[in-house]
Amino acid sequence: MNKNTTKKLLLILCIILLFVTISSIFVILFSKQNKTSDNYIAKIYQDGIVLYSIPLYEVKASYTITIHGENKSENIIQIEPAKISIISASCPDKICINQGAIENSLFPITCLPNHLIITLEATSSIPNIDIVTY
Amino acid sequence: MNIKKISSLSMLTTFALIIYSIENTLPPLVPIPGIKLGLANIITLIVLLNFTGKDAFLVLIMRILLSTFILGQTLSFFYSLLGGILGFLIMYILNYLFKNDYIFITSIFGALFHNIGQIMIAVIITKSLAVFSYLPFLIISGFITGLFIGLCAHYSQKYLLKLR
Repeated sequence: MNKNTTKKLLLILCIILLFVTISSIFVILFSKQNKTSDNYIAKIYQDGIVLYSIPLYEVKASYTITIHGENKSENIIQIEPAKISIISASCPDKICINQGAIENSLFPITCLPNHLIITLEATSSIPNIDIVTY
Repeated sequence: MNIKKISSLSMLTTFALIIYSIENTLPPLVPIPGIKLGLANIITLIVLLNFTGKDAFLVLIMRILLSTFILGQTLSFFYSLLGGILGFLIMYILNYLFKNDYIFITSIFGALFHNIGQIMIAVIITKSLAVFSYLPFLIISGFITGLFIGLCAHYSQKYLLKLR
């Protein structure tokens, strides 16, 4: 391969890199801005199956739920008004606890050893009507 | 493989292992899983530059295997393995095309593909596509760390040439 083609390849790769990086910055900024509602439903998945679906806007007092997985794995999830976090895990790395509480749909909490994902999904139609009169 | 090559490769594997274990004890920099510096990749790049692609692959696989035995994290073995192999393949191809030049570009692409491999494994394990929302974060972190690692390997090369 001569020098000219190397230069061309370098240029193409740099353009790809710039494109990918800038587009991912835009994706992050866009999804941050796109917080249309403060009404999220927390969905707790294990192995792709929804275990719990909790409307966080209805939570008034914080409580915890414990989820058991295979090999006696255990996660304690704390649900607070408008946010959710994992406070205890049986895995050694504790990445999910370090992630802290999430309050928007920017990224989910994952606990890979226990195959657990917690996502927040914005609800489009919320029964947010105070009173109905006829 | 002569004795000099065997001993230098095993020494480099040991370096990679030490760097990997030290990095593992550091607390995570950002609360997003999957983001780390990947300092051990400096050794993979150095072997790729100074030896053949086969040797670099050997060092990489040995580092992943031994670190799994020592640190005992069976799950991270699969991430490291798929991410490592995917990242290595792209680095090998690019380094072959660039003939050992522009090592930082090679390194950035290695980091990006390593992260993509990790996400693929995470999708398989959790059986859910929700982990894909980490991808933009991982791409940006892969760009920064890949550039840093590539520059490290590039500047260390200057001193390694004296040692030869």
